[in-house]
Formats: sequence, structure tokens, C-alpha cells
Amino acid sequence: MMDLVYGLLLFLLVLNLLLGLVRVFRGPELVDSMMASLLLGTGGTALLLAFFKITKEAYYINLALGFALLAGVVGVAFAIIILGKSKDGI
Amino acid sequence: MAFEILSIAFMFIGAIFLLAGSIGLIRLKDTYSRLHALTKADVLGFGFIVLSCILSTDLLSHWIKLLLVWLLAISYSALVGYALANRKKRYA
Amino acid sequence: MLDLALGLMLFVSALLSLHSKDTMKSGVFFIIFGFLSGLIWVRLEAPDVALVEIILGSAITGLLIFKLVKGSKQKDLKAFTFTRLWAGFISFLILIFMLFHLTTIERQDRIASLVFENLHKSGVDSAVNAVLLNFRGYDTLLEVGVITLAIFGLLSLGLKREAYYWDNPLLKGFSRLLLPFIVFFSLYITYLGTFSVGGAFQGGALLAGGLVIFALAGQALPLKASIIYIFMMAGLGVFSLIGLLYALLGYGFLTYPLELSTISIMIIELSIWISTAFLLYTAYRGKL
Repeated sequence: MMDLVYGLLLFLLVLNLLLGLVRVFRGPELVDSMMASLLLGTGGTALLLAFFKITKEAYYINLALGFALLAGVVGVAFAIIILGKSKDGI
Repeated sequence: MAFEILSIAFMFIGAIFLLAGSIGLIRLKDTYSRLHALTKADVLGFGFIVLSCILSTDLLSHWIKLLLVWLLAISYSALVGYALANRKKRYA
Repeated sequence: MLDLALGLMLFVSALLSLHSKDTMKSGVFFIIFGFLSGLIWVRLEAPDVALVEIILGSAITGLLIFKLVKGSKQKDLKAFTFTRLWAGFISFLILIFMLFHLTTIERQDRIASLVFENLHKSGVDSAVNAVLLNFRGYDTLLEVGVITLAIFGLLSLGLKREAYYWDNPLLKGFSRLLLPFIVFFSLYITYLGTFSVGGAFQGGALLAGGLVIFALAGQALPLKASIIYIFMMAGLGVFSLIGLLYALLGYGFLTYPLELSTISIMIIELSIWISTAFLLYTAYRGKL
């Protein structure tokens, strides 16, 4: 019973990642691809938390925290470096 | 036992919201509406998943770390949505 | 089923990252490849490698790729056919070798049992760190040396680097708020390396990510160039100094006595932490 429930849960989360990958592939512009990869970041953190719930191993939370700390940095850096114009200075 | 059932139910709700976010990312027409789907439905689903994990553990250190993950996720989501939309409108 | 889906996604993203027309899009696919392989390492029960792959392979490499693509003039890089054939040939040889190894492997006493037998002599409770900093400390010392030399080579090229930043109050406030959290958590990861999942390289890379978002908001660190140089050299310097000290005391190069091993490994980890952070930050900026 529990196995079935957890299997369904993991299936939903992995389906989420797959749909994100489809948008990365199709994205007409670069921004869409990058947004979808951010979705993969959120989905990956959710998957790690689901592993934590299933196995009760404490290190999954540390992994999820590391993931959450740096997933957004890539998105912000994309917005500033790729979409912006270069400036002199710092 | 009641907490366990509640926790699993929350995790399912969270997974369904995440799925709704990615279906929105596939189906919506232009970049800004896709950004809307990404930054709202996704964060709601993620919050439910964090809540479910909080219900299933009883250590204070785990609670603090999970709350930190949740705070980081919502603030990054707001920041990234703002930055992407602003920079795209101005330069692209 | 889950593993199959993850592996398939990894394969597809690797293929697309090699074959997409736009250089930038292959960069995005490479980032996705990084964290999918991180998830796969989690499934293989190797959380240390997964942490490295998530932090370094996807985030820090992604930042470097963004800067590289934006700075390069040539938008569509076409590899020569000969280069591609050569790379394919080498990969094919490696594949054959791995398949051969996989089919002929036998269950027998491997080196892992030796590590677990001698774990109590190493001064730390985590097997990965015991191997990394005690049993094969010489190897790790040379790795730190390679990173340091690479970054100093990058600096000595002296090219004109462009800086990208966004002068925005929201981003400034957020990065200032985030930096203490990141410093604290990366120290925690470094400390955790002595008995559980974590380590100095992972913590340093995490801190480098925090410093990068600090710089993206258009702020400079309030540190002099000389202090940054000292931080960058700290890992190599402290590591080899401790090794030489024990050699002079008569224990042998990088051979810690049992009662002092925990404290010396802790000091080495701290120095590697700070130097990894500043080396990666300098690699991102391309200048001091």
C-alpha cells in the first residue's frame, strides 16, 4: 500500500521534470529555456524532499538546502549577464 | 497516524500544484504568462511539500532547515521573476 | 522506473547539449545535465558526489558558461569534423573499456573494506574525508595546487574583463541579506565533512556562489587585493606547511600522529574552504 502511494508520488514529481525538459527543448526564445530549467530546479528540490520523507535520512535536507541556495543564483545571473548590456566598472 | 495521512495528503497536493505549474509552462502562449505560471503555482506546490516534510519529522534542527529552504525558495522565486521580466522588457 | 526516467532524461539532455544550433542553448542544457546527474548520484547513494555535482557542476559552471558565451564574438561555434571524430573515438574506447569492466567484475575484497578497518586511525568519522585528507592527502595537496596555479595563470593573462551588474535596490538588499546565511551554511557544510556528508570543497563552492550574487548587484567586497591574494593561497600554503612540519618532526610528510590528526584535518579543511571560495570567485570575475 505505502509503496504504491510513494511510487505514484515519485511518478508525479518526475513527470513534472519531464514536462520542464519539453519546454526547454521547445522554447522559442532563450528566456523560456532558462525559465524551464528553473522549474527543473524547484522540481529537483521537491524530489529531494520527497526522498527525505520516504527514507528519513537527514542528509537529504542538507542537499536540498544547498540546491535551494544556488538554484536562484543561476537565474539571476542569466537575467543580468545574458539579457543585459555590459558596463565598465566593478 | 493522523499526522502521517495528513503529511502524505499535503505532499500529493504539492505535487499536483507543481504539475499544474509545468502544464502552464507548456500550454501558455507568451513568455510573461509562462513566467506567471512558473513563479506562482510552483511556489505554492513547493510550500505544501515543505509542510508535509515538517509534519513527518519531529527534530527542531530539521524544522529550522526546512523553513530556511522554504524562505529561500519564495524569495528567489520573486527575485528571479522580477529580474527576468524587467531585463527582458528593457533590453530584448 | 524512476531511475530509468532519470537516466533517459540525462541522456537526452547530454545529446541536446551537444547538438543544438545555438551555443547559449547548449549551455542551458549543460546546466540541466549537471543537476540531473546530481539527482542520479543521489539515487546511487553517493551524496558527497551529488553535493559537488549540484553546487559545482550545475551552478558555478553555469555562471562561467554565461560569461564565456556573452563575451565570445563568435556566436555559433562549429567544431571541425576531425575533432568530433577524434572525440567520438576516444569516448567509444572508454565505453568499450567500461563495458568490459562491468561484465568481468567479481565480488571480492576491494579497497573499501580496508578503509573502513582503518577509519578509527584517521581522526575523522566520515570515510570519504578520511580517504581525501588522510590516506591520500598527497593527492589532494596536488589537486589544490592545480586549482591555485590555474587561477593564477588566468590572472596573469591580464585580459580586459567586462563586468556585468545590475544597479537595483532589491537585488542589493537581497544579496546583503543572503551573504551571512551562505557563509554560515558553508561553514556548517565544511564542519559536517568530518563526520557526515559535506566537505571543504563543497562549502567553498557554495560560498563562491554567494560572493558572485554579491558582485552581481554591483558591489565590491570591502577587502584589499593583498588580503584576497592571501585567502587564495591559504589552502596550498597551510596544507604544505602542516605536511612539512610533520616531516620535520619525524612523522613523515603528511602523516599525522593519531592524537593530533583531528585538529590538523580541521585546520586544513578551513584553509581549503576559504581558498576554494576565493579562487572560484576570482575565476568568475576574471580579475581581482
